[in-house]
Amino acid sequence: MRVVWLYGLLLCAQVAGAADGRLLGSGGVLSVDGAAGGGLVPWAVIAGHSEGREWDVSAAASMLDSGDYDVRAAAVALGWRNRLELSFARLSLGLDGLVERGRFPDRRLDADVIGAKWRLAGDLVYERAPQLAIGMQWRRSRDAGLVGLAGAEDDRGVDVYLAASKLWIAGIGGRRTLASLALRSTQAHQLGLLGFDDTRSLTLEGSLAVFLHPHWLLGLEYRGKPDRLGFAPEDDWADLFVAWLPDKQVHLAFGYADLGSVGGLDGQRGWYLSLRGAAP
Amino acid sequence: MSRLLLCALALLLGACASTRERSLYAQLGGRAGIERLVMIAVEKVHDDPRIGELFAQTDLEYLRERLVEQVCQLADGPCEYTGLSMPDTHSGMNLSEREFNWFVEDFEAAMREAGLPLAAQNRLLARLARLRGEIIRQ
Repeated sequence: MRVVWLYGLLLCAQVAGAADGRLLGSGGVLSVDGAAGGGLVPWAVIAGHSEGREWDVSAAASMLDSGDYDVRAAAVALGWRNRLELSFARLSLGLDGLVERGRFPDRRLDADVIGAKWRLAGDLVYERAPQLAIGMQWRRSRDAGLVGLAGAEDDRGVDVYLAASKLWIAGIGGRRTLASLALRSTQAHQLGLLGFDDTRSLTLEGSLAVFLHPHWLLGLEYRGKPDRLGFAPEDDWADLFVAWLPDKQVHLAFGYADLGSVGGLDGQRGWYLSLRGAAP
Repeated sequence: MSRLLLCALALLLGACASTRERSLYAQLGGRAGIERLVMIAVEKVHDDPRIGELFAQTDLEYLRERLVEQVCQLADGPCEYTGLSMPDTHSGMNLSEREFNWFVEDFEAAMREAGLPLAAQNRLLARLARLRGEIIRQ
């Protein structure tokens, strides 16, 4: 249902905006948090392909099955003049593995993420220095009572991150190659799905991606995570993905992610799929 | 997972090893290859509804000749660009970042159509892209 709503919104935007001013893929895909980047990690790019006075709207639906859990994410992001990005994402964690073991009531844990990203300086493609952006993500658990019982100190928190991204036109093997790093200050346990801590942690995230072909991107991502939830260790996340970008409207990402230990269950890994559409 | 990552890295780095021996000029097919590429590119740019208008007053034959020289020189070929400097040719046009990118897209499409290897396409494009600062906003 949510997906229908998102794509309805896209249809509306299709009538209003049109952005075609940047090169294909220079807005990445939408990460689970809603920020433009890879599947798990934000890049310093602004969502979509806006340049000059353009703006556009991207929307994405993602799902991941890690064996004991499933993660679903629906996200929408506005890109404005290749300068500002505003995003909203709803994350939903299915807890089948915990429910079956009788450790948790039979329901999902949801969280909302409102994001803003500002391109500070630079150009992803054309300048020697990387493109720099600063972003904030206001996160809120929609299940405050449950995450409180699970040991989280808070039901909301704010992330601040600084991202640097650079694309080499003739990079590895003469292919377009993108490298990106982000430094994040966060309070979230498992993106906020398991609540928030009172204290902040600094984490490092990175991506390396290569356009094997103008429409095919192969990438690696690593997302450092804090480990502050008493009852359940939290591991860093990593994934390997392939994205297909037939045009500036449709991007499809397919990957294999390793989430490590989640909610007391180790070895959570599995496939994920993310479909992103943009208007026009 | 870590084995998967290592495998992917090895693949990525493995792709590096080849394609460096021949000069870019040779990879583009020498003078004849460049002439063909420029012919296709100028046609594409001229027919592009987004930027075609910018070339409405342009002497296309003159443009083709200068572009051939320029691409040839950028590719370390035995040519010399005899046209005006980049800021001078584009002076008064006030080209935007978007218009530059659209030219790049058309030029890429032309390189594909000319059947150039992807690595050669990207090497040439990377050299052309360095001129961006002297082309836009002039």
